Amino acid sequence: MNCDKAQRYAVLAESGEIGSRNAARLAGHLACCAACRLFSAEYVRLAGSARDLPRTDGPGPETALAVKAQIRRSAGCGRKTVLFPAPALTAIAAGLLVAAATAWMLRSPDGSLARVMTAHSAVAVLTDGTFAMHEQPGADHSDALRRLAMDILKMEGLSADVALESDVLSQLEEPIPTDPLSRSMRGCPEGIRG
Amino acid sequence: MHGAGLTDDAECIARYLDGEAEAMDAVVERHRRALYCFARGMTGRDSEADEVFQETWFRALRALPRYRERSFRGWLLRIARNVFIDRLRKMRPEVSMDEENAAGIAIGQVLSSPEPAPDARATDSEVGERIETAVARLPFEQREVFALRMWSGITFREIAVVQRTSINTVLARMQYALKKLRLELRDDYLALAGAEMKGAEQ
Repeated sequence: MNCDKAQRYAVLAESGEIGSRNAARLAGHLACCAACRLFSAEYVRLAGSARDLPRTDGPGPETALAVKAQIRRSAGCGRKTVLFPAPALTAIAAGLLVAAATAWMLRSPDGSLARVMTAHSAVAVLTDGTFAMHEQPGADHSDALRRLAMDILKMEGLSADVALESDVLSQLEEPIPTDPLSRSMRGCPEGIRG
Repeated sequence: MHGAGLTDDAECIARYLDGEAEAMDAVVERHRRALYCFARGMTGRDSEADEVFQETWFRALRALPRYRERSFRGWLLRIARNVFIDRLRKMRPEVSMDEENAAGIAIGQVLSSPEPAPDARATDSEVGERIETAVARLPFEQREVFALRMWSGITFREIAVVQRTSINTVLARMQYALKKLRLELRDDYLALAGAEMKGAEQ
């Protein structure tokens, strides 16, 4: 072992980071090298004096308080923010998907297709509907369905006085667009009526 | 023992990140002295050490969600080192730490802290004062190794992590530092050598 390495080992030995094998080699070198023995003694003394310096007080009270306040402010910064739980998110996504699909299906420049579909729904209710919840005690089943159909037509801005199917269909003749999809809907009420 | 400490840090940090503010108090207390002594050793002034201490914790708290290191103390001291380097750059904005002087040595290597300021603490021991002054004149990285080992009390292996270098480089820096301190503290060393010689004669 040369002196350079021995002095590094002496420094490591002081911090307790040397293995037993290297400690033995260092001891062997120190036994026969006065310069390294002196270096080692000097280092131990210097380290002792340096550590005795009055540096143990820590930060001033204002600094300690500022750090503590910051710690209080930042607590929980690693917590993941969950705006929506997974089931709610799934429901919202499904709803958005349905809305987007509906909007796409009902798209037409003047909105006539939407009206056609709504009217078709009304007609379907009049002919095949089973909305028993609109029934009132003592009322005829067909009357309840008729009221429901009228409500739907009113909402769509169609005449509330229409004479059911025939009038609805006649009103639908006007706004039929050239869209092949909506054209195919023309015969739909007939089909619904079966 | 060492491993238990690390586990405690990790556990406290996890609890703190989960919203338990008090969990961090133990971590701050555990590393307060090491961090402050390092800051004090590098700056040479109480007021500047306070600022480095505070800024280090602020940065550490901001970075805490991304903390993945094995040694919290090493990670904290590395942040303190960066805070100190940033301060040096602000003080001397025209100087790059990588810029080399005429001798081909990076400025960062030779940049030493100013002389101990008036607010520097008076030491009980004259030797202590002389050591402080001599350490303040050391090049940056040698001073850092000395401060981390003597005043923060971390091992050379941990210092290597803080400085992102090998333990051999750290030991070499310490050796250079000791050689310079030997020149600066010549009288003290001579006194010791005399005592050593007397001891050898006896």
